[in-house]
Amino acid sequence: MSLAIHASGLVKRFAGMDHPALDHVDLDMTEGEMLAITGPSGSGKSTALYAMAGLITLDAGQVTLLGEAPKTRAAWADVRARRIGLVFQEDWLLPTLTACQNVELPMIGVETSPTKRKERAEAALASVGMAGHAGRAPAGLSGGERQRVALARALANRPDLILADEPTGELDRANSDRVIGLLKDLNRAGTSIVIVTHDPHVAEACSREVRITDGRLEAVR
Amino acid sequence: MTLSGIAFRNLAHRPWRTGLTFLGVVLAIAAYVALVGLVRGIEGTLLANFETRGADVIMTEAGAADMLSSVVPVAVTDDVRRVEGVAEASPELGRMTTIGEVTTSFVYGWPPEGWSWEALELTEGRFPVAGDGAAEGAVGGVTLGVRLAERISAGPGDLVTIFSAPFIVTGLHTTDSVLNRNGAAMLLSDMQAQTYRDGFSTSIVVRFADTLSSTERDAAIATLSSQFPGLAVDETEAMVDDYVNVRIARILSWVVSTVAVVSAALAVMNTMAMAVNERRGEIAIMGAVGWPRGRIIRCLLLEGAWLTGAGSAIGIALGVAAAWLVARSPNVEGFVEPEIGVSLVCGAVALGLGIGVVGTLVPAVRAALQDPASVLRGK
Ligand SMILES: Nc1ncnc2c1ncn2[C@@H]1O[C@H](COP(=O)(O)OP(=O)(O)OP(=O)(O)O)[C@@H](O)[C@H]1O
Ligand SMILES: [Mg+2]
Repeated sequence: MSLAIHASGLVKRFAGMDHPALDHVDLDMTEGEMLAITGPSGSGKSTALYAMAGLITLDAGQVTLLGEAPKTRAAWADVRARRIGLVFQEDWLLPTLTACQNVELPMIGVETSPTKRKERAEAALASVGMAGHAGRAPAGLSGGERQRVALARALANRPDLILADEPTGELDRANSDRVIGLLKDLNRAGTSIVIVTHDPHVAEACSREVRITDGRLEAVR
Repeated sequence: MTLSGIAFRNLAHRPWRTGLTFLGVVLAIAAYVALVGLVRGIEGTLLANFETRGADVIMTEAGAADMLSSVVPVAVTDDVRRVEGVAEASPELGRMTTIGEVTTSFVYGWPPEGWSWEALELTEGRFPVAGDGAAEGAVGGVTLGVRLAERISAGPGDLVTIFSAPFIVTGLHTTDSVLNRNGAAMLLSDMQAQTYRDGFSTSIVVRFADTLSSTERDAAIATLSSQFPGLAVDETEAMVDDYVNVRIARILSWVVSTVAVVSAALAVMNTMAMAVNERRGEIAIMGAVGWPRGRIIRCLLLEGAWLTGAGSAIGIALGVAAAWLVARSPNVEGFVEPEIGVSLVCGAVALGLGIGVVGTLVPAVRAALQDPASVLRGK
């Protein structure tokens, strides 16, 4: 089995902090895993996840993702567009676009045909149970529905790896279970998934758990 | 969903802010088009005034602020004619005066044999001759430009008051020059008598032989200058260029339109900076889903381009309308016909897009340079 993520020696310091936000973090994740990253607030979970998506510049260390080791911002953007789906605690949907148009956003520059973009966006929305809401504005959707649209946006380019930062953080139990259920389905279909979470329920649903404390990562199970 | 679709939706999402900025762009472009069009019109009008008469060189009093305040003795005309290369020379007396209710008409006095008459095309009647109007108690004859005649409703046979004296209208004329269509022409001697300028003109209009090469032409101009040190010898185009009123108009139009354009660019910049600031999350998510920085900047530039492109189109239309309205206003009518050609319109479009790009580029680049992680990780 090849590695979805190979991270070694990640160090990230922020001004004003007495210890590094990431303190020599090493992590190997096999393709097809569903990994939970847990830990106390401010311990560096989000920072670790964003480092794996190339969204922050590291002080030291290297990330190899699905066999690619992007060096520049542009190369990282390209890998994110083609191979990674990102989900955040907030949905960050563009309020001026419909649900369907929001899902099309990552496909601009990847899929050239606007008709195909629309078809694929509709299929992604259907896969998260939002088929009937394609033409609606985000403002008219519930929190759970919005988060599912955001998940569909992460799925738009059929990623090999999904990185999710507390994707259920703002959802109630029922909606949270629904989103985790969708992620599990994707994982069963072969997508590797990393979830940063506070929620033991969510961590239990994953095949493996690591914990970060003060920027240091350790295996839990 | 396309980039320009996203840009358009963002503008439509904030109709008031977009509308006000749009208005700023419209007014700036309109001011530019109207002012530059009018100034070019003034230059064109003056140039046409000489060119329709086939004048190559105008000789005026050296140092005079403008043509109408120049005083030149008619007697030098014969000496000018004898200069090598000069085909014809004719004295001209020009004044600006009130005819009927029209306060600003050019009146020219030419000798009966002068070739300036050839530039006027008679639509009715004939040119004046010595002794015209004696029977009717007039001091002489005059032909009126068709537009002037229309405005004061006068025609051949009517008496009009010029220089406080009655003149009889002998004919109506038209020309390519709006000044002359709104002006009048009479015999030099009649005009000199009525304006106390016996023996004097304001300029001597010179025409060179057609066969002159450009070096011969330059030589002829040099000879004229050295032989008549009291007179300024100007080629017609240079003359219009140097005309002090044209220079003032040019500077004013430049200053006013620059101020308008810079303000519009600042308004666009302010709007785009606000837009970018309140959409930090949206811009960050574009980066997170893998948009390269260039595409994010392009998307924001398109927003500026929509704003200023549409603003320029409407601004140009408004500017053309405003220029014509000004040209038709009673104080200016007859002086200026706005000259708004392809080059001015292209310039305005380029200026509008320039406003968009300059106003948007700085906020767009700053937005694309922001660190998406710090925005997206939430509060
Ligand atoms: N852009 C930044 N500038 C300064 N400090 C930062 C920045 N991003 C993160 N930090 C700091 O780094 C540490 C780790 O932050 P991080 O967001 O990774 O924590 P977390 O484990 O995700 O916490 P939470 O569970 O509250 O989301 C925190 O102390 C945080 O204040
Ligand atoms: Mg976090």
